[in-house]
Amino acid sequence: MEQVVVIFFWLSLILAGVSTLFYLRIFFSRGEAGIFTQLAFLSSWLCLLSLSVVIAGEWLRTGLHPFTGPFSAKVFYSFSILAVYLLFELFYVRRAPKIKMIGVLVFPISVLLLLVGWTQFEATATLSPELKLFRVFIHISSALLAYGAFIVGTIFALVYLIQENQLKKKRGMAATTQKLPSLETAEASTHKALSIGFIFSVVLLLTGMFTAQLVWGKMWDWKEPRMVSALVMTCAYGFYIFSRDILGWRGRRSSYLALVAFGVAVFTYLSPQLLPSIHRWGTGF
Amino acid sequence: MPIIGAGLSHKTAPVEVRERLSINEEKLPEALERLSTYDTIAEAVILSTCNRTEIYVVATDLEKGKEQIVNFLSVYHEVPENTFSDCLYFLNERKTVHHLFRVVSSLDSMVVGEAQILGQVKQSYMIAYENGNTGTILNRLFRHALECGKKVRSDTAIGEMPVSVSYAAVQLAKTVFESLEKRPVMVIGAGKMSELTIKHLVSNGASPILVTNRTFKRAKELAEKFCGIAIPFEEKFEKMSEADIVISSTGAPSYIITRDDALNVMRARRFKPIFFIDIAVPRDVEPGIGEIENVFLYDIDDLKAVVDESLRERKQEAEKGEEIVREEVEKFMSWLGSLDVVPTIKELREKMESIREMELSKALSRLSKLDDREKEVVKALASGIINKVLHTPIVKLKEKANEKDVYECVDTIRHLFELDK
Repeated sequence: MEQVVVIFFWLSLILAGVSTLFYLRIFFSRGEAGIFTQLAFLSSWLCLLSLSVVIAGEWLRTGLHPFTGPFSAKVFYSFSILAVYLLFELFYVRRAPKIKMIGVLVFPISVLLLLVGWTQFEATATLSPELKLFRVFIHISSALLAYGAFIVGTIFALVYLIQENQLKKKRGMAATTQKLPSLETAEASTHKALSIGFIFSVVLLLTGMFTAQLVWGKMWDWKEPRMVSALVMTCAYGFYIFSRDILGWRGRRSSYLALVAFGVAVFTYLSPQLLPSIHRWGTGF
Repeated sequence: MPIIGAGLSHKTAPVEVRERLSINEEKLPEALERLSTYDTIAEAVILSTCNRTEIYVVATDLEKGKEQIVNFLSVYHEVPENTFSDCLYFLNERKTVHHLFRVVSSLDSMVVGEAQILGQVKQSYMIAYENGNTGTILNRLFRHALECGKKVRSDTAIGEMPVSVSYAAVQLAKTVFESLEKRPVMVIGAGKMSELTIKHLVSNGASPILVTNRTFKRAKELAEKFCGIAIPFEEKFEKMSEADIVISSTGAPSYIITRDDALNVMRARRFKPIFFIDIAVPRDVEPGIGEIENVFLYDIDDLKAVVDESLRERKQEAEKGEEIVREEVEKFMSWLGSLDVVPTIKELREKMESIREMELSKALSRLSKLDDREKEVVKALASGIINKVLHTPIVKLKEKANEKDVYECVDTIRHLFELDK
């Protein structure tokens, strides 16, 4: 089983690398990219497929649910970023073909994550029995899916800010501005991605609380930095959605808010390393 | 046989002359028919667009060919030769090829890089081809030219930049809004310039079109043209909150839309993005509006800057295009050179000689007991056969040299004897 995992891991890595090249080729081609559009489509979806084989293989290999070790967490990370992005591409590509330009940023990130994951291939976490629970499985996977969505949403928010700045400075016809998605698409995609992320982070909080109830006998601990930080993060994304849908904030303000929320998310991610925390199993989540 | 290109274009002839000599697409087959009745014209293609009328022929005689083309134009259009002869240019051989390649690559167009010419050349060629007016040379020439045109388009950015203010406005609107489909547009001032911009927006799916003007009657007229809605001038701000794109081009001496007006409009539309296009001089929209959140304002100077920039880039891209054209002309000319009678005869001889020598040395090595005289006889036999076999084709080829179908003949011989390998 280990062999299968390794083979498909490298296949995924190669496919992610090849997809990066295809997306770059599309980005730098003049007019229609022709065959490269189809090649990018093919290699990116194959990459996703191959990553799911790695995840399934890890599950069978370790006997634990996946994403418990740093290696499989990175693989699933990569998977969730790609899955979120590719769903957006699938959904938007007819109406807004320029959305493909986001792939130029998404694929290198997943290549990087996979490379980092490979260095942690041997480091498997040892889990106490209660952590093999189904709710922990949901807890971790929704965390990783939420982060996948947040990363994609943040990229869209950045693209929005770049595009808006160019348009305001009367450089709307600059080559890169014409290649990147329109403000409308960037804005709507940020909103959709962050909403997906928000839902997963609510699930993350709830399952976390239930697990805490079971393991430590109490649902909430204000001294646990990751718990508090995750709550702030969820509230920040909640406020982003609230301000946009109810208060009618849009555009630049909304996008800055998305960036701030992502800052909190990054802190949440790093908090067990920065502060004393109970989230210690399998460092590098 | 020389290739001749003759014609007139926007560079040499005023529109009055061009329109008199243009030939409608439906009439092309008949025109080609009449052109090919002239005795020197072996192959012909007529290219006629609103900017040029050009005739490409392969003729048996250069001077006579030129005369006959002029005669054809004059007789066909029933206009005296002297009305257009000053505007006419004649090109031959390499210059014709070079000219056609430039034309098809849109380097000779009025708006360099425009996309239509490629299709127009293709259509003209297809008509001549289907009509049986083209032969070896023009078939190869036009196919090569079309390839060259495509190459210039794909390898340079010549056709990518907007070259009109209204086109630039549409491109910018598409950077704010993904698509203009069902986007409400408001037009203030019913001038010529705004009409052109509306046309572009409407062809991209924008609707409805709200038109307002100080004199309501003109607003109504313009609205009717685009199935839009005319709005009294006083109500413009109420309706503006419904529009995603606002085009302003009134003759007003001061700002029509002030910062406060825009702020009110934005509040009414809950700060949804809006795109102002101010094409009036003096300006209609207060420049400070552009600082309001989600307001995007481009005035005529901003748009002109965009256009100038792209014209500059097109010029650079055109340079690359010229380079591609030169290379392709070179390739075509070397193919054409091989089609002449004299080099073909020479190559044919050389090929036969090499066969003769090979076979002779094989035979002589096997007949080792022959004395010198017998060897001479064998050698004479071999060269005798080669010379006798070649005699008739070479004489016929030389006779053909000035006939209409010489290239078919040469092409066949080159093909049968594999002379190009």
